[in-house]
Amino acid sequence: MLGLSAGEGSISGTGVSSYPDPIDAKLRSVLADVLALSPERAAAIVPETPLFGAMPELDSMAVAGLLTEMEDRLDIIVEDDEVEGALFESYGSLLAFARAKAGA
Amino acid sequence: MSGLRFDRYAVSSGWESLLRHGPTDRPAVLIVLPLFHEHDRLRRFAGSLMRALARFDIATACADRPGENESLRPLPSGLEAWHASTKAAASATHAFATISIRTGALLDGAMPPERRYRFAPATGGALVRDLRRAAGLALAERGGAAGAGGGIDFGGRTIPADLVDQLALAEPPAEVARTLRLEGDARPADARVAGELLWRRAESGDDPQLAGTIAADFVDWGRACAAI
Repeated sequence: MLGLSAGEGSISGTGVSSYPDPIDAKLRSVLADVLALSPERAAAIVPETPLFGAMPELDSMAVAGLLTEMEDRLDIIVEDDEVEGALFESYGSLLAFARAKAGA
Repeated sequence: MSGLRFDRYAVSSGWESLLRHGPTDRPAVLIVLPLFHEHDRLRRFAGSLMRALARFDIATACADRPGENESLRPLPSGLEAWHASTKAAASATHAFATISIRTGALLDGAMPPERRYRFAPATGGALVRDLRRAAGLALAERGGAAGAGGGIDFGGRTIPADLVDQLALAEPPAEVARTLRLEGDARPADARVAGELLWRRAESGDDPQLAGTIAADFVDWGRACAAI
């Protein structure tokens, strides 16, 4: 007899973040996961860290993937007219946008 | 690619390619990859997953859909052709379960609910937003402007408007036996696993450890519910 499974478990890893702000923690992990940043590089990101034009991994295709992944993990919808160059100037500008969209 | 080999299966008007691992005289697990660019990025991982399942003595198959990968057909004008080809591949391989990945889950209605195993299932709406955004950004780089609707020019071809419209509304069937997601993805799941976000990467990558984790979890689940 095949049954539908219930309950939830974690098979490996803990996923615990050391960032007290959950939006910051989620956005940082989205950026690290989409751009395949090392944990050291992800941890070194500060609000002033420049993004588009400074991170070679962040080309236009990666921008699209980053926005879609942000939508998924932050449970937001990003409209096309909200996407402008200034959004990706720095980590701080992207974080401010994510906070505003998530209502935090 | 050791152990992997190409076969074919019949679709409504001819044949499509089928990647296989393991004996063909017993039921297989059908790996259903996501659509479009995510398919290409996960193709290599599919090979790893098939090899990982082979270590548990499980036969696997992964079918090309019409219009994708090695297929010589144009993209279909609607999802029905892909539902039908997934059913045909399941039938040709005597599939006892599907492991669908991302938007592959939109097509796992080919299998009864208790035999649907999913990894990181995704909606068609999210895929269409991603495709439109990527196409729009690429066009903007060349100085153009994208229209709001219709077909999507992406990756050197046009995804037909009717297919885009159907995809935008498509959801994985509600009933599913087991769902795994990556850590950091808060959406409903039976378990979360550590792994690489391969479908967002610019290059086709691999994560053999993740493949091994999924294979072991699939086998545990299959044995617990007597599917294997």
